Amino acid sequence: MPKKNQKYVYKNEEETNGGDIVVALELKDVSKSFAGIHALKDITFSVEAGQICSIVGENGAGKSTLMRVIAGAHAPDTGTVKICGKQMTEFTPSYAQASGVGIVYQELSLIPEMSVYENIYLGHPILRGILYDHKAMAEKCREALGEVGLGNISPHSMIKDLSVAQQQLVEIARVLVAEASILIMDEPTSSLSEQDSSRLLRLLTELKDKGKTILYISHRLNEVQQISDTIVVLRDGNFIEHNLAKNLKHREIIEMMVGKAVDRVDHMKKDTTGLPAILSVQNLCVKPRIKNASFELKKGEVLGFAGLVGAGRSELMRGVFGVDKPTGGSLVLNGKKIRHITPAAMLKNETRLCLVPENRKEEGLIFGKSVGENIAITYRNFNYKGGLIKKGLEDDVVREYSGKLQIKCSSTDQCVEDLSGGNQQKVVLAKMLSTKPDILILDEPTRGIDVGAKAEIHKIISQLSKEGVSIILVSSELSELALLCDRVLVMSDGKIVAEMDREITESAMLKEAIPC
Amino acid sequence: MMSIKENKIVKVFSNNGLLVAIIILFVIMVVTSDVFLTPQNLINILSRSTSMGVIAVGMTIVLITGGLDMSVANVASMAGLLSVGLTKYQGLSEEWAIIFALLFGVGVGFANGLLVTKVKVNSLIATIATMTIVEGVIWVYSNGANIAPAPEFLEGMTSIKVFGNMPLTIFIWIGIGVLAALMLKWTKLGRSFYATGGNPEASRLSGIKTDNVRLWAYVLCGLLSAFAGMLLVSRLDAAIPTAAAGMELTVIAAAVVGGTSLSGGTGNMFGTFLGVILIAMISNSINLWGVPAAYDNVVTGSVIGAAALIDALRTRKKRIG
Repeated sequence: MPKKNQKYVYKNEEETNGGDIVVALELKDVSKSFAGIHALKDITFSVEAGQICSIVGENGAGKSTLMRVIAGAHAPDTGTVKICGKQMTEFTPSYAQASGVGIVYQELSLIPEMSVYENIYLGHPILRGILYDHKAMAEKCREALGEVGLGNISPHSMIKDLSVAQQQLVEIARVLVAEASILIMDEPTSSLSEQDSSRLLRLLTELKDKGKTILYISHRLNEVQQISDTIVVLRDGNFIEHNLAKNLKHREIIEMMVGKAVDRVDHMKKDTTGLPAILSVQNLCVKPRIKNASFELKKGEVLGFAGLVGAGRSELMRGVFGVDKPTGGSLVLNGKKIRHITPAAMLKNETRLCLVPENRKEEGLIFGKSVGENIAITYRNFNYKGGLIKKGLEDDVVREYSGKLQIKCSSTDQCVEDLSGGNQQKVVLAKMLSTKPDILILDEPTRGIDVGAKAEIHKIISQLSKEGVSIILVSSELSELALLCDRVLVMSDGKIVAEMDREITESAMLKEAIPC
Repeated sequence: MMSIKENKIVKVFSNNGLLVAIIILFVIMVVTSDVFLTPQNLINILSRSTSMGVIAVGMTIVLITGGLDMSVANVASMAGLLSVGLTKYQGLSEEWAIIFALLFGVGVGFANGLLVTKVKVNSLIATIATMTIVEGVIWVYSNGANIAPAPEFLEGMTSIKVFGNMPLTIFIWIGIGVLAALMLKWTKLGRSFYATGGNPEASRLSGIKTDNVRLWAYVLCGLLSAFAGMLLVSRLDAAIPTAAAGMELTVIAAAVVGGTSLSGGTGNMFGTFLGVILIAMISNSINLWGVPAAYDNVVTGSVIGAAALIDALRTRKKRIG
């Protein structure tokens, strides 16, 4: 355990050669609580101008809340924030913007029905008199798009027509256009492919060289160590450590974040040759991108799907589960051909197939409802009597699965949106597991959740596979696939382009995933 | 140059099923009725739509911000009563009566806005509350009786004819619509309406004062509703307590048929204009065919449903394709 009274200003004497150190951001005793619960407690540290400082911590550690305070979205209860030596007197987004703070939020914060350039200039448009200068904005926007690698996107295209990764890059372009001196990036790479991520990281380094100060939040510790000058660790709203990146080892950071040592999953891989197929997909077509996809899932295996964002993995899975109706091809479940592919049919089949969707917020959970209600909702479809639900039975199921997956909540009556991302993901898993599936499709099950929760999800996957559940794992994190999968299929541009079963390495998967 | 223009026209039609529907109905009417294509009938259609059209402008703005205003029709009726009654009973000059009537609309809009933004009541409930209060005030003030005649200034808006035989009110309506469209496209407030409706939290975090933006929408809607009430007085030459009764739903339907989304963030004045025209034409057609007026609502409702269906199919297709 690091000492509590760690020195908070890190002075990098070698690099500054004893010259003046310009402090870009200074936080002093910043505290913030929501409904009596401390989200931040006496956070004190400062960041030198022209450095990349990463903030790490588990979900719920207070990283995002802290960033929102700096960006003026939340006012702290106590404490002061100084930006370039000037104390913030008002905590509003416009004040923070005017002080030179630009932020890319974790949740996409764009207007879907508006054009790219209007989103980029949202809140601070270029005006000619009182009128919008649409033309000037579109033109200037084009440059910024080029800078983030979106040169092929028209400033006039609608946000809703862009992919999630492109939208993320538009958000970054927005901060560039605002000419902020302090850039805050709250998990900008969580929905980007490895390729887009590395481009973004390069961009950040360039921006740093131009003298910008960057606060960077990410769960990907490799990235953090690669680009940061200093690292701040938060845990449960407390300041834990601020040190030079090169002084901190990967394992040390994790231990500081979690507060204890994390055990990595020890997953035993299976040899799948000769196993019978439980699911066989032949020439499946899903509009608009998937054409004639064929693959087999063998009984009890963990089959990985690798690929860049936009390669069509989620679309294929949505087709297999019937969320998007396939326009051609066939699906054979345990030797039985399925005629009507719909989610209800797949869930009611003797060989039950479940999909845990990519987007837990929009597709996985019902916000505003309790944890218990969310878990019971799928189970309810198969276990009722004369149209009436069996409350007692449901309660048992909820208890069983929330216990089994160790969902951390005050009670199963707690609202599901109050849980951390990792626990929300467990609720989605519990809901599907309660139906006792034979085949489980997991689409990005660990996106945006912290190291501890991720390890727990890995453990669950490993355990399920041991129990004989056949699993399809779609993930953008190649390390995860390498760790868990018996066999991996790589998709690129809507097609399955490669299969690997022995040597599943990150570099091999990446090589196949990048379209030539 | 010519081909670009042609392409644009094709695009307008393929993107606008509503325009096609209007044209089809127009053709059917020309064939089945002798009276339809007379100038007097066409003018009639337009002139009867003016008050609905002006309210629809305000409603579209509120809908774009993601809100709803149920109080518009009663505000229009009450403002109409005030514009005549304040002179007749309270002895105010005609100008002041009109100004007070407009301020009444602004006041109700302001109250709606405060309820929605500060008290954070759902807009449907908040405006049903004000709608009901205003309805009560209407009966208290008028005792259910008409107040006539219309003041000279208001009467003049209908009696002054432009381009042959068209009442000035038609041009006032179109002028207001064009101004609103320009405001929506070119001003910061106008763009903020869209942003706030499209994603309120993102807008707030971008430094847009979303509460003020929504407040403005209700105030504008209240003001336009009050003015629409005076257009009604002008056309009917009297303030009638029930003149605008039920119009709030027709107006919402017109805006939605015209492509404004009830969930906020989208909508435009041209679509709303076409929506109003379609509803007015249906009403006129039923009249010309000699169908009992009681069926009017049945047909109007069905057509709105059909238009919404076509629109839903079209957007779904777009999303998949």
